[in-house]
Amino acid sequence: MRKVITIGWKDMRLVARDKPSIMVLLGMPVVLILILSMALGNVGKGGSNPLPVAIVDRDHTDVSRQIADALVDRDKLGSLLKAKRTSNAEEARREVRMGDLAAMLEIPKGFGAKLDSGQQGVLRVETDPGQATAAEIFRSVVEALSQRVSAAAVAAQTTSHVIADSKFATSEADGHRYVLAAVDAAVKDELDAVAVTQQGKPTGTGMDFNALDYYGAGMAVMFLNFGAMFGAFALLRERTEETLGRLLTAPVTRVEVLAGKAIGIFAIGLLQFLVLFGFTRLVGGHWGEPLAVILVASAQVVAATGLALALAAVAKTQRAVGGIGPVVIMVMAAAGGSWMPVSQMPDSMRPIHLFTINGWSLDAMLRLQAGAAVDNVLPNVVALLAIGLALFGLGLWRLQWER
Amino acid sequence: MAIVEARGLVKRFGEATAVDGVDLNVEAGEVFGLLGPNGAGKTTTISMMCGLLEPTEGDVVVDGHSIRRESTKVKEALGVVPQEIALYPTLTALENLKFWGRMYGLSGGALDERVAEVLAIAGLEDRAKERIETYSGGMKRPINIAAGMLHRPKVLIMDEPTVGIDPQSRNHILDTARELNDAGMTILYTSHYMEEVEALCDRIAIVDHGKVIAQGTKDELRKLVGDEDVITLAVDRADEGVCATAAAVGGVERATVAAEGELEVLATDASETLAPVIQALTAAGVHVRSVDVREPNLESVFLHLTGKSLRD
Repeated sequence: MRKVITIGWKDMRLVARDKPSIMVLLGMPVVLILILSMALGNVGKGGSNPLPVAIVDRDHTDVSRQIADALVDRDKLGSLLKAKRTSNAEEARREVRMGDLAAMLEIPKGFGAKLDSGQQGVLRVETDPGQATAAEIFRSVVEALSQRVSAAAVAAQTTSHVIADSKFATSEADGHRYVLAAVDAAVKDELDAVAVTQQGKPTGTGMDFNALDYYGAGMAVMFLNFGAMFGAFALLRERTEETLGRLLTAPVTRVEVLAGKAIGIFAIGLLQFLVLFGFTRLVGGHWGEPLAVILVASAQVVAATGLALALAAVAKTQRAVGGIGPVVIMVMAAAGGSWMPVSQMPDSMRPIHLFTINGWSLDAMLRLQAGAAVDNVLPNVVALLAIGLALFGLGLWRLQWER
Repeated sequence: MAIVEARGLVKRFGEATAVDGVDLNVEAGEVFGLLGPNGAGKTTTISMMCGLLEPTEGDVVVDGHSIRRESTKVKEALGVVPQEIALYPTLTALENLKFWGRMYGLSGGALDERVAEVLAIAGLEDRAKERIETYSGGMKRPINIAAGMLHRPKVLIMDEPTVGIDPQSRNHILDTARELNDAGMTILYTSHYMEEVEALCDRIAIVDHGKVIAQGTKDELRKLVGDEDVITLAVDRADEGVCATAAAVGGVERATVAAEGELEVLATDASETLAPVIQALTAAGVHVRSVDVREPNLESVFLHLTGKSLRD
């Protein structure tokens, strides 16, 4: 066992002194996590980056002011919206087109009058196609608000007419006051509901997570597989640089050599994950129960270790691993959800993720981020270990020991 | 007593036979040379001896242990210096030696002591903490050898250890091999450099096309081509008539055309025969440009046995 650990420790030392490898294994995922989470912003309802929007009030009535005030109220929706009020609709439209704003809301002239007369009012939303997801969130909030406000206003006006027809005479001003009160209550109710959803824990999968959390997990999972590729490189380099031959002339068995290499790849992968885990937590990401996350990561590193051996065995040369490895890893990343959520893929594509390391690992990571307990991800852990063993078996079967 | 015995060793790679029934006996305490041109099967033979390749047929017994049945015991008894530099370039010499020492079961104070010992033999104590990738080719070789002798093996196998290095480093390696042998270590030395094997080895096996074509001491091998000296003359004309002229001189056993413009004369004593041969040729109108006289050596043995030069 001492020799196995010595071989693993030596491999860790070699990687630690290989700056290009460190850049790929740690530098690249860190940069990609930052870029993707900043570029895609708040992809989920539970996101933490407020959407920049503009509110253009052309109506200038009490009702329109109530709605605009509520939307720019930072206490209520500050974590979801960064809304500014403007009277220049053209400028707001230009900012949306330029991507400076995710969306703009226009309250058209006559909106308040329509509600006062018991008709439905329509709020106009324009969105930036480049921020489709974020803009859709805003559109859905406004549509829900619009329907609720219209329904409340119609109800208030109807009530006012009923009262007017009764023995209790009411003035037109009273009717307007009822509408205002109903709109106020509806706006508060709707926005409270939005705020509660925003503050609550995410409960779904895929786009229900914010970009930092999602890509923190997605990139970590993908780059653990790149770690496997470097493991395959290291194994083949031992062969081409004759150190593998020298190892085999020492009183060390082939099983000990392979176990040492596997321990090295496993330890490097686990350290790599812990660094990425720590980094994403440091910049505000969420992972869920740490021990459960590390359990899933360990299972993935086992699978990645198997992948390393299989790559070394099938590709046979460093050059071939350099060609095949990235293709295998990027296809698994795309199909397994590292770049975009599996839930956003067409139905026909979704089952493919079950054949990838990324699919099983990322699914477990996202469940843990959503607050799932460890027993919820045990099937994923078992699947990853099974993939690892299968790949390890393939590697043992096909590995060429001699140069 | 033989410390290494190879019996009927055969190695086939598909249809190709790299080693074809090699039998060798290496006696304890000697320097045994395996001489042959590149591709003769020397490295394949020693790869089977040290357990790197499994023999297709035959067996190797080292210090009483069969490589087929007790490979770990065999590996413990052997130290191997591969032909290529088998070290980790980004580790220091010290880190490399400690790693390889641990692979042979050394640890703690014993490991430190052995590492210091082999670094002293390599003459690189002051650069032990520098990475191998910063070493010149001539500096890497001694560390490559040092890694093979850390555990004080009973037999040290050195596979072409002087390939691609400068004469000074080559002399250092040959001196090291002699010193280790003087200290009691058996050395199995492979090379295609006849001069090295001739200078270093007590007994020699000549290998060609995967077979041992001759085996014995230097004198025993030289006797295979007789005791005659070889006189090689570069002439402006070499033909049957010129050969007959040379052969007619007293003390000349045989004269042949070795190559175009080259005459090879076998004589019982070159010091007495050379002058009369040149006089006879000059009298026959043959212009002699240069003369080379040599006693029978391993090169001529190889030439005699295979009809080709070691460097062909």
